[in-house]
Amino acid sequence: MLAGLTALAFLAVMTVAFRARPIRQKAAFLTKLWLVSVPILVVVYLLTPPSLWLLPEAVQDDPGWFGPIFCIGLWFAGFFGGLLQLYNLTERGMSLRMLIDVAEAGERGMNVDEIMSGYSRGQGITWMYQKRLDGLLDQQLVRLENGMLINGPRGRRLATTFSRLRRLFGLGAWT
Amino acid sequence: MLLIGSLLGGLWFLLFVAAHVGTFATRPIKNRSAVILLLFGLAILGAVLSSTFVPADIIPGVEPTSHRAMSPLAALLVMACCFVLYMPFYYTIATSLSVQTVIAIDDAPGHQMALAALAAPEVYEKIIAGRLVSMVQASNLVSDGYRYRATPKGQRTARIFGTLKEVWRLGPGG
Repeated sequence: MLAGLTALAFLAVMTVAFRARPIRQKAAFLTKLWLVSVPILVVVYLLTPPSLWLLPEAVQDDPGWFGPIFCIGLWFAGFFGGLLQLYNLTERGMSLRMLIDVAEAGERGMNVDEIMSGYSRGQGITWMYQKRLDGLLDQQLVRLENGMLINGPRGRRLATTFSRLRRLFGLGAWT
Repeated sequence: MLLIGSLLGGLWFLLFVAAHVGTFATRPIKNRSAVILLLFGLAILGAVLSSTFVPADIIPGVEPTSHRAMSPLAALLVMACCFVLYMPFYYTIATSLSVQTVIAIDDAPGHQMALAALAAPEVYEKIIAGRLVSMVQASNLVSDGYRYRATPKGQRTARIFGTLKEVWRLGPGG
């Protein structure tokens, strides 16, 4: 229950922060905010009774020592699997952006050429790909030399790891 | 019962991951999302049944004080938490464009690739076509073979995320 309340409070703080001022690296900002929230949650957990003044004993944590671990685990998953993913999907989701563009076109719909040129309210698919490339360059996963893209050490490690994982899952052509 | 249910939830999630990897590695799968959901559904069933009928005193030295129903509830919560952490990881492996780019560079002769080749219109078109097929399969879009239109389900999804973009002042994004 405390993890759920923390998630709601976090959602409110995050919304206020996003609306209050422009934040350049929002995902990093959210992760820092989550790091701040964990000790606060632990303190609140320790300061409040297991019943939270309303729960019967039958639904309280047992054994007692497992309660805080369970609570922090829920909040970890709630943030990294829930709120952060929701933000990432809303901000960067490519399929979602295409879906919104097609939905905004109404009954007429769009063909592939229109989807490519009209991507993200007319910024175009080239803009989308450039944004991804800029991200890879910023994170030093790749570098650009004389018009050629070359993986940096981190990029090579990432490529090797994910190639193996793709083989493990039997994934073929990209979609 | 919270501890017992959590341990069982974790165990059944590991079995789900093993089944996911095993099935995908050994069989050609057409509708991946449907198979993942089927395997996860079976794992949930296993977790609920085992956590409902497991003896309460199965862990030595731990005397359960909460209601028996807390065990399947904890198992479900743990499985849901693991699932929301695991699926973004899986979809990064399966669909991330950034990961696709570093792998394409790594696989290219001399481990380098001309920017012009990677950022070519035919590359974009292939990626877009793949995404559109997935969205048609997921019933978010319908197509007459040339034009794509949003289904009522697709329109609802677009409206929800469009509103979120506005509330969080994210701009069009994508």
